[in-house]
Amino acid sequence: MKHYDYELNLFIDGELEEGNGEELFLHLAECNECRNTLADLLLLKEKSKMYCSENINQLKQKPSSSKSFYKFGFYAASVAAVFLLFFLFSRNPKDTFTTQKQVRVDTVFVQKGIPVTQNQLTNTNSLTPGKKELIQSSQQEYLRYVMNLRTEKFTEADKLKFDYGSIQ
Amino acid sequence: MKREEEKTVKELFSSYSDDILNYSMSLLKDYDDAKDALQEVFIKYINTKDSFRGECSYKTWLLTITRNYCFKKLNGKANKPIPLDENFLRTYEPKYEDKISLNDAMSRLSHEEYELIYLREYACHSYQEMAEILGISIDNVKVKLFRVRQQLRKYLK
Ligand SMILES: [Zn+2]
Repeated sequence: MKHYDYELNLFIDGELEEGNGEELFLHLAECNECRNTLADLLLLKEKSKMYCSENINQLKQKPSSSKSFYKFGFYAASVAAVFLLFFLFSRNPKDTFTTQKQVRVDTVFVQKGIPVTQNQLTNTNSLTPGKKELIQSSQQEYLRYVMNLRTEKFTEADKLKFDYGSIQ
Repeated sequence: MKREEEKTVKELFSSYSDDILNYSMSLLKDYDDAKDALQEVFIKYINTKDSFRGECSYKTWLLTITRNYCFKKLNGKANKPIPLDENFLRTYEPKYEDKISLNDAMSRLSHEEYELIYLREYACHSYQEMAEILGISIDNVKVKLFRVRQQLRKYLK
């Protein structure tokens, strides 16, 4: 016996061509298998819709999955680290070791994997001027980029930018 | 088809930004990427609106742009049809079918398979609209949707 799986798919979508319905219904009346198929398809339709909807809600709720947020956080941390190094190492090395307290500060950094050797002190000092400016200038670029990404906060100005009047 | 009343970009944005955002999310699986897509789609639309001849609705036109953008972003596979059966649930052995939930099966669909389900069940597009968005014939839509559902049916338990 010919079954009607394909036609049932069209039927549940309201896309069965006129005239093809009668044959299908006559068959459904006497075929248990096709009635099961119909029930399955209707259930599947319902569940698929639920899945899509949940999927979208989950994606929206992900804690501002904001890659840009993390990128920015990472970036801010790197800038802070560079400035901290700059601040620490640009001071006269003689001063760094004058009191117990300051020695301890340096010890912490040693444990974090930044050995304080005379060589590195001079290296860091020689690096800072150019790098600092580079980082400052690219930070502005980056902020501009981040601002552009924030589509959900369309300002009036942004909307006007999009509003090019009537479409030809 | 009769040309829709002309609309400003602003009107289009307020009418269809949700549709574009949701469709992008269903393909890119990321809210932030979808927001990027929304912006890119309107930029693209503004740049190409002179070529819009009104053969389809604004909505399907915008969703076609959305699709092209998303697939380019995914891996430049736009419009390259992928045989459904070959790719379906490639990592599972058939004998484990009954242990996989429908949701697992849904999450294993390829982008091409999932968008069929999304466009039909969630976005409620007609076959005609789906054909326009996907750039395939209506008969092709019927067959593809039928195949995805046949596969998913196995996981209805
Ligand atoms: Zn039958």
